Amino acid sequence: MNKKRNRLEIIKDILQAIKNKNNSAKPTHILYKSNLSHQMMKEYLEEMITGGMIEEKPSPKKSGGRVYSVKDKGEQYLSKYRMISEFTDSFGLNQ
Amino acid sequence: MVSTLYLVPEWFLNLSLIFQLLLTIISLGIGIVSLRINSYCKSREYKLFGAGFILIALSYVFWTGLNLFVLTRIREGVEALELTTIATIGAVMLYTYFLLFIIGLITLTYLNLDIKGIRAYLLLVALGILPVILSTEKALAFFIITALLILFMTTHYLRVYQKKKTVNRLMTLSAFALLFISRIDYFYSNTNHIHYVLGHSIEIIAYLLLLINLVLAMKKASNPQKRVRNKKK
Repeated sequence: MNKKRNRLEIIKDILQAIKNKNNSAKPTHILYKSNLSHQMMKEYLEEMITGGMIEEKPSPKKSGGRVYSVKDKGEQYLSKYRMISEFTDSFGLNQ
Repeated sequence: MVSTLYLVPEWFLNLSLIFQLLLTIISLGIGIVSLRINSYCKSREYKLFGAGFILIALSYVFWTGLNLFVLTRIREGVEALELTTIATIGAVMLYTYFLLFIIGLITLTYLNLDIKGIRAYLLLVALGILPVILSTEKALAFFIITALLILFMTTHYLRVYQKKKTVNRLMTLSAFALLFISRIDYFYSNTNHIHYVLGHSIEIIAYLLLLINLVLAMKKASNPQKRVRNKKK
């Protein structure tokens, strides 16, 4: 059984899921890749939009709907993730 | 009333100033990195952690000022920070040092208590600083309150370490345990100057442990490929 992810890992997983879909991922794809409940995913996405990590846009495809893409802050988070994770773990934050 | 905050041997004074500079730089470094992480994550924990350490760093600046300008020679080879004969500017620096240090520690304590709300925070701040301001035994009140706050944080980091036993967490736990021990030494430094030397030395060791943790974390930012290589093995 996989160990429980912390908040930082979940955010990283969501950002990577979006990036791996050419930076234009639908909610169902994020839901599948992030392994979260719908409610939890919704909360995380709202938080990440408020935090400036991702943005929500209408889908360019004819099918419509909305898609999410990673913004600069989200890119910075991914590039600094290991440092953030190490700092958080060393100083006992997010416990 | 205890009229002396601490005694400092003259031979240690320059080294003490260097130590204080190091303490300032290390706590400022930790605070700044935490606030930078907050700019990515927008998370309360990093904001409070960063603010706490920056307040502590500022308090060390005032402590350095006290040692530079306010000490009085009480006998051959020994200087003292006297509370009764301190001039106005010295008193301002002293109280600013007290307040910043206590509020910094309370900010970290508030974070670790995991309670939310500005009222709770203000209550903790009031409980921390009023005894020092109103008490006639200011030195005693200051050392007891700061020791208690650091002891609380030590127990917090003990629980953090017990949840997941890593070297980094052990270093943080050890750092706070050493800071608590240094507070006890400072408590006795108004009667014997050697306790000031011991307290300061132990405190610098504690901060060096925190610095090692900070440096190890920062190294991860510049070595993103290492994990991939290890995974392939």
